[in-house]
Amino acid sequence: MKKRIFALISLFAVVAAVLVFPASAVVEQSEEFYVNDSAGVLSPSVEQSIIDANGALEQYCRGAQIVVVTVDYSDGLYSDEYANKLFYDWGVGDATENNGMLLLLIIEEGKGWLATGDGIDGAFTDDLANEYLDEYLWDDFDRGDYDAAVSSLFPRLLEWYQDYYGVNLWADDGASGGDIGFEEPETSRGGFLSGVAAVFRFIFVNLWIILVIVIIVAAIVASDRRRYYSYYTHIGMPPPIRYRPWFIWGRSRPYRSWRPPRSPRPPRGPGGFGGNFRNPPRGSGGGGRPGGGGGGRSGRPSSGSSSSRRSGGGFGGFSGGGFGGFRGGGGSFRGGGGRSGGGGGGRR
Amino acid sequence: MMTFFKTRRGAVCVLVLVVIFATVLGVNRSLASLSSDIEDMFYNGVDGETPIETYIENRINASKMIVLIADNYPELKPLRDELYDAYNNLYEADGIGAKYSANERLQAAFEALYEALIETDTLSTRHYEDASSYADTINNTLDKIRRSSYNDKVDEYETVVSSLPVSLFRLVIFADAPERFA
Repeated sequence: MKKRIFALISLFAVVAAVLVFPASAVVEQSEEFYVNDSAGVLSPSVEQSIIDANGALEQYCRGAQIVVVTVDYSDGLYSDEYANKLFYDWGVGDATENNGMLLLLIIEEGKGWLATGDGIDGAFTDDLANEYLDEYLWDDFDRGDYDAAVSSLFPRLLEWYQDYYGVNLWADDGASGGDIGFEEPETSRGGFLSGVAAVFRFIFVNLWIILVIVIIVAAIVASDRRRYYSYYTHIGMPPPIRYRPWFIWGRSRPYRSWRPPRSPRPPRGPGGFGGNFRNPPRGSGGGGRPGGGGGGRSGRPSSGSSSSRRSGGGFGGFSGGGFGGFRGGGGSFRGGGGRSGGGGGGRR
Repeated sequence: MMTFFKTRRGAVCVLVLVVIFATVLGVNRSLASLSSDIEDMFYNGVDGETPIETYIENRINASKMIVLIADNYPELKPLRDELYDAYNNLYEADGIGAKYSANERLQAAFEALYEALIETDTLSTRHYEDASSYADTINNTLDKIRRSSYNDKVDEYETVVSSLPVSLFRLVIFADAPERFA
């Protein structure tokens, strides 16, 4: 009986101890610092790539660092709390620039967080962090391919730093200081193909606008054509020439729109119409339309060739960044008080 | 009944009813759209200003870091827990009015914890400097929120609703007014 009581008291004490005094929640810093694969899900090659990449990053991006940590469980913490604690305790990134990033993957709970330094969270915003994670991490992460998830995201983060600091971490001239471990992402420098793709993308996206414009122009031309042929039908003679749209014909038209004959004018009374009665203006396009109607006539003389109007923007798709295709703001956006060291993105 | 609607008077009555109904519906649609646009400014900013929502996010982030610093000082646990609850409450607040209440709670909790933190004898230099930086963020963002034009836009909406001719339809307006952040 006494033994049972003693056993129960011991059990109670142990349970109380566990509940009241939780074990240390966060993982310890590894010797390599840049990667801590506590969950054992990353391959040695990916770990080495992370270490190698951080070498170039620190050297050319003012001490920036990207630390990758994997754990099985968060021990009751939100992922952002866990990540921020590691970030703060380990001092990720340069002390002055505060430009580090820490990627935490909580494997068994299916969540993670990308914490960013206080000095760069104005440029690498929480929304941007979530975009990066959505696009490069979560799909592979959810499939359990953590190597692929990290290998997909990490170069993009390097690319962001590259843009932010205006350096080239993948320079072939050796400026990067050696093998960076990860291959440069394919779209990092744009090029002709990405520019062409941008044009096609623009055209496709704006196809419906083009379609509406074409329909309107077709309707106007059809109406004008009907008017042209009806004139000659009414006067009982075949049209001298085949109809051509007004924007090819230009101002000089071989016909006027048919009108019914005018009724005779009533006699003028004293002050009845207040003076001279002007003839109605005759539009060169007929039908009283100034300038030949249909709207949108530029007033320029027809050159006989294709008179498509070219605006300065052309397709409007070739901006200064048209061939760039860089991700990330790359800009120096900073909010007024937005120096948040607790930001980032992920699954909380 | 049907005979009445076939008469001129009936037609006029129907016309009047349709006009009234269409007017009421149109007014409500316009007000709903205006209200939605104003509330959208809370999340996207007024005339290029940084939106209040962004400042709230920054305050939450800075509060997280102050809580993290306070974790190193067990004697501050009650105040630390209050700030922790406050920023999570703000994080989960739904609706502009709820965010305002949660924001006020966060500010009060932060001020209490920060005051206690900087008076802690064992506070390290690093913790002091970092806490001060995060405190600046929290205070600066509060100042910017108070100077935001969002509430002015809400007041403009109220003016529109109160003035003629919209005020004539006040009894039948069912569009929700934008919430003030106050």
